[in-house]
Amino acid sequence: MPDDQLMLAYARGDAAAFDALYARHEGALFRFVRRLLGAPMAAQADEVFQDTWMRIVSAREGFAPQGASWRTWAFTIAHNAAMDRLRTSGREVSLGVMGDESGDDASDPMDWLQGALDMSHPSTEDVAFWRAAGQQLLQCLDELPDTQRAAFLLHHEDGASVEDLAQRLGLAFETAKSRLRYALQKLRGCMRRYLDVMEQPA
Amino acid sequence: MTELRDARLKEALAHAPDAHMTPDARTRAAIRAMAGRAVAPAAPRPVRSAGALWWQRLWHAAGNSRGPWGAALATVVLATLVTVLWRDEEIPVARTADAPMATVPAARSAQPPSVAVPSTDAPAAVPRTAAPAPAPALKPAPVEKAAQPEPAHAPRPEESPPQTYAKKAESEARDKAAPAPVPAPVQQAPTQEAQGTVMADVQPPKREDERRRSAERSRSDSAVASAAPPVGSSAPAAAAPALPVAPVAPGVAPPARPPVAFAVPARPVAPAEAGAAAARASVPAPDLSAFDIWAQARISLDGRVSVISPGGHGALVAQLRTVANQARVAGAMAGPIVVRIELLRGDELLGTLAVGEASVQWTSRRGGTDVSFSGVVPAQQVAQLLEEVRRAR
Repeated sequence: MPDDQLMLAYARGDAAAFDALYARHEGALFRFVRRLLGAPMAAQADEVFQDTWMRIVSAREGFAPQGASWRTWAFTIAHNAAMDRLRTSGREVSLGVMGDESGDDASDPMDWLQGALDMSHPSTEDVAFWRAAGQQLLQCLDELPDTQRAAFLLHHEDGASVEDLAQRLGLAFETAKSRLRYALQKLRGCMRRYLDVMEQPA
Repeated sequence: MTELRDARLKEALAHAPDAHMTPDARTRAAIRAMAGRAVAPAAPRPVRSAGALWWQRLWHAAGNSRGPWGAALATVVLATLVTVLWRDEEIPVARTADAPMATVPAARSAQPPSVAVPSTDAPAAVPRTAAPAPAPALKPAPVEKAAQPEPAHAPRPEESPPQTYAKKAESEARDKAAPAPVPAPVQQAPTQEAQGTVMADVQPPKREDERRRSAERSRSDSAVASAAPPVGSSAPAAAAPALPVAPVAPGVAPPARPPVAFAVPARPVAPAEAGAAAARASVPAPDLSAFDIWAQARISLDGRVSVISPGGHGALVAQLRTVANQARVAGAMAGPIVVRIELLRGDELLGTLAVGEASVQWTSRRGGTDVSFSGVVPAQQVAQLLEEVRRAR
């Protein structure tokens, strides 16, 4: 059953529909919340995650599958919950030092990774590498400003387009685009070491 | 893939150490329980369970916190506060118009009780009906009189308690036609000597019974009357049973009134005041409002009838009012009428002022009934009034 139908069923009183919906998106939503909060506030990830689902339950009557998918709707709620917590926590936006590089490859799309790597059967070394890269990426994400981090995660984890991103965050298209661009710039600069390795021929 | 989407970063995210991280089991359980409770139907409270007390069942039946309990509590608190504040406060009681009359007559020291003869049935009905009221005051009256030191009101041997009136009435019956009582009242009330004496002198014996009856009805200070010479009181006393007054005061014989009832005015002021006060407490006051609104006055004097207006006759108007103010005792006056002044407003007769040689009667219409009040007027005032009347015609 699609996510929208499960949510509607739950709104009608079907608790089992909620269980199925929750099981389907628990991990992704929790990772999103945790990564958006960043490492300094990782301890509050569970609390914010629970708050997110509470908001979803409370808004079940008003859910209407119009245009945006349930996942988009839920990720937006999670984003708002996390941002609220970030604001209340008084965490300073860390501009971070993403390296001296200015991220000049923003205009250079690097989509060769899909073709260069055999992802269907990754080797142990590949997995380790990517795990390390992922670890580094998390640290780089922590150094991003909250708004840029949110824009990057919504764009890459949730698959939201720039237009969708702008709508969900209540931003102008150009503003959302700028945030995403800056986020990529900084992340690429922070991940330079790993990205350079990827560029090196095997 | 666009410039804004980096596959390498996405892949790195997918392999990040937290890629397979899940929330705590307790968090999961709490979320699922909360979601289940949100859609679970409201279970009815076991109000009728065996262990539920009656007040618990009542509480649940009343809707628990959904009821306006706060408003109810506030109302109770406010009511309690008001009750406590007004606890020692006297309840305001409306005072009737007759209430102050009980004290006003006491100030009328010069108001001799009139011995108006009931010349007409209507006026007589008024004093008769009012007679029962004064009766209860008969008993306290003697006490009051004894407490008031009046030089003129020297206690006489005849001043006996009401219980002895019957005896005195018998002795007075023997002297009912005697004018002897006249001097006695004069001694007792010098202030009213002129009025009382004059009135006493002119009363013909044949009208003594009528005067006594009217005097008994209008006066409640029978104890004071005991100071009056016991003359002619036997007749009223004998006639008392036939009068409405008698039944009212079974234990008190009618006051001993001399046949010359006009001697009554010669009584001491204080007793008259007390008695009159009790009498007036039950008798409506004369209504002299007609003197403020009359437009025409029809004067009958010396066989002539003339009509005048208030304008230009200020002296006459003042004299009329002065004379009318003497009419304080309910009942008709005694003696012939010398001049009759009818106050009119258009076709409406407001009142009639009948003036005798030394008496006055004011008759006004009240509640569809003519109410008469009479009194004693000094001869000098009567003379002045007649002069003004003749001048105005």
